[in-house]
Amino acid sequence: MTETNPTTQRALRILLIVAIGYLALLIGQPAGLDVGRIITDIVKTPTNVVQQLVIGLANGSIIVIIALGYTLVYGIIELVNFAHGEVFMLGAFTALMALSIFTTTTATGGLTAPFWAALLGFIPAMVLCGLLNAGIERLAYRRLRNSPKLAVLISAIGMSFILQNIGLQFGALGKLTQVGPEFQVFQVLGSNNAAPKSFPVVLSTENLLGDFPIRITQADVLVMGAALVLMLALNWFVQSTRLGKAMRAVAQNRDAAAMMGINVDQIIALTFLIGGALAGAAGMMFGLYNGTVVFTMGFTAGLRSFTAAVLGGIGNIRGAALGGILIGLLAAFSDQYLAVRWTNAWVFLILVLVLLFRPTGLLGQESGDKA
Amino acid sequence: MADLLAVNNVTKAFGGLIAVNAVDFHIAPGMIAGLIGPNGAGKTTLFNNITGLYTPTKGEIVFDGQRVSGLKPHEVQARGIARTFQNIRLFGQMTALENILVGMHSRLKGNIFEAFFRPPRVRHEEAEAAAKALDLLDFVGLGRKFADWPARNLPYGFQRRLEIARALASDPKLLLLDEPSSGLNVEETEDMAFWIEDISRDLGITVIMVEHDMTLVSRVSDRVMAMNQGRVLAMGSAAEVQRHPAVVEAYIGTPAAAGETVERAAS
Amino acid sequence: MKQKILSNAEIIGILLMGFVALITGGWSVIIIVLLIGALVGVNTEAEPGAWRKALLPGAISAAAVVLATIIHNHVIMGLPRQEPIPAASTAPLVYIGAIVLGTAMAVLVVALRSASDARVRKFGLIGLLLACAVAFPFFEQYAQLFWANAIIVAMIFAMQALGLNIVAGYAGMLDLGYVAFFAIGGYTIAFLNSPQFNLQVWFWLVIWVAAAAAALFGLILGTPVIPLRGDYLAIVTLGFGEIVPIVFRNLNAITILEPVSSLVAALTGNPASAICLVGCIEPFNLTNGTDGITPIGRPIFPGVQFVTGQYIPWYFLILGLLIASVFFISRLRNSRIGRAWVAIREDELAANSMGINLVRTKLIAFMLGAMFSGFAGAFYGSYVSFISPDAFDFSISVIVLCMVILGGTGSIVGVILGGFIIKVTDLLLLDKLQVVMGGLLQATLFQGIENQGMQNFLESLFNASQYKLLLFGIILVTMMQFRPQGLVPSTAERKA
Repeated sequence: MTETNPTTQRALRILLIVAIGYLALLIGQPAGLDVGRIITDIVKTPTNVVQQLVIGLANGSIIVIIALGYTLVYGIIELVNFAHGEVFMLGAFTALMALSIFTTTTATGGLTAPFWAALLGFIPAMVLCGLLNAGIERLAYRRLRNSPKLAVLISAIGMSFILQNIGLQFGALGKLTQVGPEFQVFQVLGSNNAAPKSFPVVLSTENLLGDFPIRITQADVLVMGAALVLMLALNWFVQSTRLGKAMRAVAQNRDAAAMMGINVDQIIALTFLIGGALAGAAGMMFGLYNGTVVFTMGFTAGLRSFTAAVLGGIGNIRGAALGGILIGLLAAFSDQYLAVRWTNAWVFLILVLVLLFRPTGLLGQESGDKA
Repeated sequence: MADLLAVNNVTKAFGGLIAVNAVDFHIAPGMIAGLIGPNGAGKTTLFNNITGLYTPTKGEIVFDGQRVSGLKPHEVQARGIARTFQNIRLFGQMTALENILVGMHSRLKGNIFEAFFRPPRVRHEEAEAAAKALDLLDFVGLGRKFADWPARNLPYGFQRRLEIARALASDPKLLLLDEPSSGLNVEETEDMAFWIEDISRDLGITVIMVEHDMTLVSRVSDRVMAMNQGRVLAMGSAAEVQRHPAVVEAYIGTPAAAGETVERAAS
Repeated sequence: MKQKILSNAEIIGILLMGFVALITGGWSVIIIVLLIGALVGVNTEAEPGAWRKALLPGAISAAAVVLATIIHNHVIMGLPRQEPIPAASTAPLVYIGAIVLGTAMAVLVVALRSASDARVRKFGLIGLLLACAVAFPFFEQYAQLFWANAIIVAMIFAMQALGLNIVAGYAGMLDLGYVAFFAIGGYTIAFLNSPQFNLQVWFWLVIWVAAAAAALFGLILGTPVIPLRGDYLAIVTLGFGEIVPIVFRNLNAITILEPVSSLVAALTGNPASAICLVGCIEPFNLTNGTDGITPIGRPIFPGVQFVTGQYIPWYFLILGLLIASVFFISRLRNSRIGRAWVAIREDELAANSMGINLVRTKLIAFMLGAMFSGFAGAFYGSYVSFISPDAFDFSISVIVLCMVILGGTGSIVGVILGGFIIKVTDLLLLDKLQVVMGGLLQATLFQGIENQGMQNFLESLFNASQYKLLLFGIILVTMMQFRPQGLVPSTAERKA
């Protein structure tokens, strides 16, 4: 190795970074990375930045809640639970059905539901998705606990396809509304199986800040509030309850935990139950916030949330929270300042970069591979 | 005569845990060296340092006049160090013959294009390799009829021997055996002793083995080294090392007991 | 002890093939009896004179399939909405002939397998298979089966699955973004041999360029990704597989400004002063977005026309490629590098200690896999003559993975079989099933249900082609749980 002057070395490194940055700005332009336009946009409407912050936080809150499910499961059995995004999707469908019971048609022909119904709707969504996720574990993963990791991952992919198909055919129930008034609840599903389903309007879209240029609606407040409550509850559960401690013990060392008399199967099932319940809640939050749900949304939401979990440090609950918020913000700013149709690509790019350069994530600690 | 292997003051630390602590020894060509010590003494860690699975935190390892510490395992192997594993690590779904052929990987030359077109040179090389692999099966007493067996279906004792054959396939200068008699019965262990002696005498390969069975160690080793808690306690002939007070203490906890006790404790 | 006439595998085979015969009918019976005969033949233990033992099971199996066909031809055809079948295929002689044919196939396969001459054993089956493969398209055309398209696409996918088998089956790396290379291959031929840029590069050159482009991207992606742990590798490749179609979808209006001048222009409030590099007069359209690119160049061969609707030339071209792929891959598997892949899959650490350079060896597998996919993508693009980003979503990666898992990871025969089963089901059988189910519904339930809405609902609920994802999902989950080695395990596994 040749000795080089440290100053020259530093200059070279800076030059390299500048070159890479320049190249990125050049080839990133078709994907919306156009600094000139971005600066013009920001200067023209600076309030938009704050607005995107709000949107990003709200979307991020939903991502956090889904990401927690990935992180809990990964923390305990080192499985990327591929089906988790689909559980979230089915959660949104359950939430929709729960709301539909209380749905009425407004004078303008739209659908609406009372606010208390939305709050109540969290319960069936969480219960069903919790049970569903625990059922998936029992059915598709438990037998494979001692198989190679990739076998379980493949099983999880298969499961996600099954759930997605269930989501698709769930839409068929919408056709029952033509049969008679007794099937009126299915009105929310529309007549096309695959088409996006509109959530009934629950929250007012009025700006809570009045005429202020930044909009904060009831939906923003509700979503962020719900995320906060869920996170605090989860934190309390994991840190302070007996079962939570058992969960952490199993995550640390499954065999040792088993020897201490912890029923490992039960704890793993419980973890899936909690993760699923969170996904169900996220489904309701997503529906309330975005207004439409569609059977394909689990894949994208799942990947964004998984990216969030990895970004924060998979297996780490606080990491999932941090990662979720960051991905939410990234997506919001990308939608506004880069290009909506490229946002997914940017999120995936972040995922790839994190895995390549910091696979342990922002808050994760080193975990050496056992030889 | 120059040393074949020189382990110079090698330390390996995992965070705060020092698994191998300033170990320093030399192995002359043609020697059979035994490495003993209680569980967790750092014997396998030392092997992993020599074979490139770990890079020493401090110190260096010189093999055949070249520094090998810091190299990747496949680079170390290519320079002539082959090994076996404590808990047999054969390629379970490959046949016995294929396992040995994999051991020859670094000695064969065919690239992907040659794999496609199979020019005469490669065909010749493959045929030679297969013949040699069959010879090796014979050498470890497995017999050719097992050549087509998936490795994981072989009886345990055969798997141990196949692992040795696989290690020998690369024509190493130094062979590291990690507990070759572990899991074998008395008879099989006796056979193992013969093979180790054959490897050394007939093939001229230097051998270092980690072993708990003191009968085997005493019988085949020219030199024995005892380790505990990452340090070398004693070096010398089997009898000397077994009687060494530090070794006795490591095994029994008190310096009072005699050599025979060590034997019992170790086996 | 009572000897069982049919083994479990045969019973399952009869049930599945019988079901296929039940929903297809017509001349398909000939093909299905040959398949079930081959299954019985392969399943019978080979020993001198064993062909006698295949007589009875062969006849029973063929008879079962014929029975199912008769039910289709004479009962199901009576239902509404059914597609017509050639009248000649319902002659009693056909049924008898089919039973004889199926039995003969079983006996022939056993006889070839238990031949005393090793050469006959080795080449006999291959010859038989080849004869069937050559006869198929002509029979298909005569019998008006309309299967050729599905079979050709299945072969293209089988080729792709063979490539994935190198990556996942041999080297043990789970590549979930395999479709990306398929897309890259497809778009390469679309760029170089279509009206998009008015280029007409020689077809036989373009396919190699496509394969090379895919391999190059495999190298670019693989270099940083290969050292990652297995599940991380799977996710990164998945991310790549998602990005590639997004890129192709959105690169239809490119304008690139020089960044510094653009920044200055923005700061001075004078947008016109930015220096434009690409797409200045009008945005540059590289991929034509979601509309895709069509028509794409066809193979050129003296005296043979490769056009849409003429299946026979395509069939033989792609059959030839598939055979070549099998030949090359089996050579690769039995070479130094092939053994190294399997060794890595079995035990990475031990493989490394035996002198195998992990990164290099895995990278070669990754690139070769990408190359096969790119190659298949180029042919796919040329065959359908149309490329759009929607053809390359995540489900394609999973479908190809499904082929490998179903057939047997690491097993060439298995993977091809898996490819055929999955793609033929996907493109053919589910549609047939839907027709039969639709007819059945109309003939039974709908008689009692007047309500149009209820009819719509039931129709949608029993729409077989809506359950593709479910089917693939179930295959993946159940195979992993009950038969992780696949339908036709690789040689070493079979001896277990």
